[in-house]
Amino acid sequence: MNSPFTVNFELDGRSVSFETRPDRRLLDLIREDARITGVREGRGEGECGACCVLINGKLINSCCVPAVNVHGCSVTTIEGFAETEEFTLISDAYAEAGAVQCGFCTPGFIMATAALLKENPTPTDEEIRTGLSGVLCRCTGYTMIIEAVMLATKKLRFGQQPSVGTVINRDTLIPQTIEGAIKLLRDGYRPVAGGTDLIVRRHALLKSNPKLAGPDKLFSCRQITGTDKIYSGNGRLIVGCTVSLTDIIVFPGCPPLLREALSSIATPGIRNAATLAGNICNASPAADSLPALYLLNAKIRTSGGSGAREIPIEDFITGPGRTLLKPDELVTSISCEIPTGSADNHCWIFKKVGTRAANALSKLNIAAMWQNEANTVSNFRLAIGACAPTVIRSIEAEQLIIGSKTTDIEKYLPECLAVYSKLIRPINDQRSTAAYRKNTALKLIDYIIKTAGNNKDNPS
Amino acid sequence: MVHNEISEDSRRLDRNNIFFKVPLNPEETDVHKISKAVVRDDAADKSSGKAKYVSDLSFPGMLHMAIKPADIQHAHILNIDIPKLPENYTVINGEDFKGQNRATIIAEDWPFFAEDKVLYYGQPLLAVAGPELEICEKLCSEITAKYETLPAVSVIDEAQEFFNDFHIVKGYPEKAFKKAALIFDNSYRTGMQEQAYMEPQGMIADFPDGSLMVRGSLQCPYYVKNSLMNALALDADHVRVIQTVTGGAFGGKEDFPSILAGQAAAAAVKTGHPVKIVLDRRLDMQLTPKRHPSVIDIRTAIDEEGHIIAMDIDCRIDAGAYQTLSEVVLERAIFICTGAYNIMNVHVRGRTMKTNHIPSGAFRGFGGPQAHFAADMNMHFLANKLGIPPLELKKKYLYQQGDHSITSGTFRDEIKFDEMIEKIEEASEYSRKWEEYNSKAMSKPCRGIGISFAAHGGAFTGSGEQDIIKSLVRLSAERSESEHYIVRILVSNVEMGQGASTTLRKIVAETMYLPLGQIVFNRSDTDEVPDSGPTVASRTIMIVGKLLHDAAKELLERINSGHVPQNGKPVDVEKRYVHPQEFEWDESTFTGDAYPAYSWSTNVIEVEVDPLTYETKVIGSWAVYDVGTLIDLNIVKGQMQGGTAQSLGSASLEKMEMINGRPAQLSFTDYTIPTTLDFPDLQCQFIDNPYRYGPFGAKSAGELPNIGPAAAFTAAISQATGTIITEIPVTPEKLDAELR
Ligand SMILES: Cc1cc2nc3c(=O)[nH]c(=O)nc-3n(C[C@H](O)[C@H](O)[C@H](O)COP(=O)(O)OP(=O)(O)OC[C@H]3O[C@@H](n4cnc5c(N)ncnc54)[C@H](O)[C@@H]3O)c2cc1C
Ligand code: FES
Ligand code: FES
Repeated sequence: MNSPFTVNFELDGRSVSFETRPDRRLLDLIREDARITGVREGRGEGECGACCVLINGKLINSCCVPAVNVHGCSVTTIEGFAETEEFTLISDAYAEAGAVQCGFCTPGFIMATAALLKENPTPTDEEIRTGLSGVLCRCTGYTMIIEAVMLATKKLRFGQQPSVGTVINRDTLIPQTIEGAIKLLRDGYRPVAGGTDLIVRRHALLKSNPKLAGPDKLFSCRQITGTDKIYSGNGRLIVGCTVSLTDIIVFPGCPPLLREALSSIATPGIRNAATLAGNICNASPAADSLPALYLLNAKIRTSGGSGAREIPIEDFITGPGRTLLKPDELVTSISCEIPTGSADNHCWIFKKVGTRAANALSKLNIAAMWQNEANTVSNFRLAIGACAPTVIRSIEAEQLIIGSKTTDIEKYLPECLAVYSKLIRPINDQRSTAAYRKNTALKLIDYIIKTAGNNKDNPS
Repeated sequence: MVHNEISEDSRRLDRNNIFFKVPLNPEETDVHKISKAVVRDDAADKSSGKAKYVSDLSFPGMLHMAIKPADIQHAHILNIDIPKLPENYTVINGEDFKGQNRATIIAEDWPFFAEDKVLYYGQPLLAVAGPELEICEKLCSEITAKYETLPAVSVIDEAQEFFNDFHIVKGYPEKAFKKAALIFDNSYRTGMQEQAYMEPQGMIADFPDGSLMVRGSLQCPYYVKNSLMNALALDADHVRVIQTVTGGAFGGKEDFPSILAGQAAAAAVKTGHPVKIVLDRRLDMQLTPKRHPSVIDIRTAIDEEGHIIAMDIDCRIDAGAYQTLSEVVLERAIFICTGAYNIMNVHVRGRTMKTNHIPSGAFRGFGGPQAHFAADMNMHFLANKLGIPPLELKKKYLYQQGDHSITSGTFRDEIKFDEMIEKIEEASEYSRKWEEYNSKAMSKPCRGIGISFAAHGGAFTGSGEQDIIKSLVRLSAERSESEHYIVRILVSNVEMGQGASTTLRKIVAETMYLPLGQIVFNRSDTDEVPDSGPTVASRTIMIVGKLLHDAAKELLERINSGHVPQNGKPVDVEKRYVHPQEFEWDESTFTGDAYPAYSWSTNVIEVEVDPLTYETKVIGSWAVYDVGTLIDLNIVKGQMQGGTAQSLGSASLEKMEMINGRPAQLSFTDYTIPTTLDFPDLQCQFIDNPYRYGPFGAKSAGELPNIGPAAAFTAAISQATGTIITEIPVTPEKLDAELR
């Protein structure tokens, strides 16, 4: 076990300080240490949204957040928010619309509604559904919840923004420099970024098989100077390792293909915490950012080890959950191409086949892009996830398509499909079957290539 | 005098028991006054987080408890190796039950902890109680068991043994089959479904001074109480069960709380401390009963004119390792085995098959959803075989007033399917869309539309209300600080999200002409409330609400005739259930009126199927319900929409596979219940059809919406894909295998 760690943050407007373990979930700090029980635990794995709070004004599932990550933050729970006028308006709308039944989900919905309306005071039905997609309700079927939010929009105007916490009492587990982080890595600590993979997995193991969970030696990447930057230059996008998925999605220079892929990940609350570095380092074969990153020739920059490295993504990821990263190396940023060319000849597709419409993990995912000039397909690229231990991209198959006339592209289709067919080696698991994955992947490839031949418009 | 908010005029009307109607808004012109929506009394505390669920409670000296589940499906237990426990940590096992190591869940066969044998994967072997939950969990993970593996039965198809085997005959099916010109066979399957209440199961037990007190998230306080009395050999005066705010149940907190309460209570008795257990979600999904999977084979006889003349139905439901309440689920299924359709000659055989997985249990609908899925999809299948549109065939056989049920009971009340069909056609344009999509299976956009019909019998089956439950309710009028009276509702039926605390109060308020604020509904505590029965079977409004309605009338009369409550001297009225004389039931032959009244529904679902990935999307959902008088429009709507989402979930997204008896989907990541983005607005309408014996004309509502949507969805997918689908959930994987 670790030496105790003291976390200081602002909780519902009060400064609080807890001596705790660095990997302890914010949810447990709130419910058990601060005795704020209005924040509910429905699942503890990020999927139900009952535990949502605002961290520095952003909706985040508190069951995914380790204590080290909230140091110096401002956290608003339902019980703090319940003191505000905005709460009364939203909660009255919920009551009037009949949107409260067993009520277990309601605090999560109210927080999600507040976060949504703050960013978008007049959302459409679709925007409400997306904004609330991270909170599950088993009682209502959602129709009356959507009505409640509509009702709230008619009355609600948000006043001042909640305060953003200031950092107090620096701690070694929250390094400010890359050197500080590397030193911790050398001492056997592991980095946590958003925590949405690491903390969730760790918690599940602690519950079922504590031996496998290992020591709680974690440090937070979140305050390493410079890692929260996102910018573009020389035709590439550069994303620091602590930039949240949400911030990448809203960055104007983000390639649309990547934006689409990242928007398909999880829910607003998870995307506010999760990072691209975490998605890559977790190296799940089904990670939704990966097919797009493979096409955009992403490179991973690391520090530590025997010096800085820049590794192409296809080399960086070596297998399910495995990367080239050495134990004393840190990913500092990720870069990828920003495709050039005018909008009308740059075409792309991203398709996630998930387990449901929102907050779904991928059964398979596929990304493709190409250019279409003078009836010739150029620069064709295609990548498939969750159909092999790592993402599939075949330069051989792409070469068959590149340079072909749109009119006779289908000639190369059988040969091309044969190449992919060999590479697609999916598994049966609790989400899907190998047969389905393979058939569907091949059908989607067939569709994409035919689309590349048929029209110039972006088919997405 | 009693405070009076209602005009003399309406009072007179109500006294004569005529239903008066008020317009709610321009679209809803035909609604009873009591139907007008009010704001629920529990909404504010639930929204602000003030409401305390069991996980939010703690008591001085309280211990935590962790369960050690077996990691084998079927085996003899040779030994369990328990390392030396630290101080203050205690092992609880089957030997800690002075009465019996069996919960009372109708049958008394499910042990709290395994004895010499493990019958299903995850069966609790023992529990560890102590001050720190994490240490209890760690100790559990260090305990190992040695087994001798036994062959296991994982699915219905392999099962040979059964707990029950029933036959019912209506008319002369054998004769009819001899006359048949055509005979069709088909088989229908429904999967396991998890209730997925958002609040996991939890209990806190305490045993101060030789009396047991259990608090928890539950539907049926007296079920838990009786089970505890039997298990721990305590008398009624020494067991108290208190319901805490319950975060959804859907049947899932009808049976299992008796198990969890027993485990926690044994620990409290043994340690002398309060003991709390709240299941982590993975454990909750692993340990608790789910909806019975079913395989229903239907053989249909058609005569020369194309009429359906008989059906032979073989209904098997997967009971899992112990019988518990499966017999009653089976009864509900076979009593309604032709769905909402009147078939003159029927033979049905029903069996509860014994397999090695978690005992299946109660889930909203209780056998009805399985039976209706098969019955409705069979009509769809027959329509296809006979070359007529499904709605045309279905319409010919819909039950009408005076028809006889499978058990030869009589449908005594008017059944308004004509009006319901008219309404749903208008809302959904079913027939027009059906024509449009019919010739275009698998062409883009690949769409389909389906319609289904369903019936749900309210309250306990047969003479259960009269002979087994014998509900008793109490109303207590107290003088309050001000000049007003407070009327307290004392029933054992719980508020679990479905709105009972609001609707029951409305019934009493309306009957006594009191403002709603003067009626109090306490959370159920067996030391305070009489046994008005469990909160199940859509009986709360129809049976308990009616008793309260009668009690309220009597209380009002007593007060008006001078029995005014004084300080410290409340005026009480009790009412016990009496079965209306006209209904007859013979339990030994399953003959007569299985239910006093039925509620009816029709659902239309429109879908789009992705021709490449076979992902399905519901693009429209409409429903029309006859649940008698609505006691509260918003509350009933909420029930209908929530139930529809659950039924659509069971038909599309919610896959629970048992791999070697082990649930493969043990989290909400893998067991995917619907999100905000999965289904569109779930539209619903109601028709007016008050029930004679219901309070203000209300009958059962809660389970009905969980019955019809699955078949409507599957019919729609069948149209979109041009293939008749007979199994739910309809996953893209199954469509891919089917259509390839
Ligand atoms: C409910 C839910 C839904 C989800 N849905 C999806 C989905 O649809 N699609 C999808 O792809 N993923 C999904 N995920 C997974 C997860 O959210 C993403 O993978 C996310 O991008 C991980 O980022 P993070 O910052 O939270 O990672 P963390 O959990 O903080 O870290 C993940 C791993 O990366 C390591 N790491 C993090 N940063 C660095 C660094 N700078 N250098 C070296 N190592 C580092 C950590 O040590 C850890 O091993 C979901 C998760 C949840 C809980
Ligand atoms: S508890 Fe469900 S998302 Fe955190
Ligand atoms: S109201 Fe019960 S889960 Fe939403």
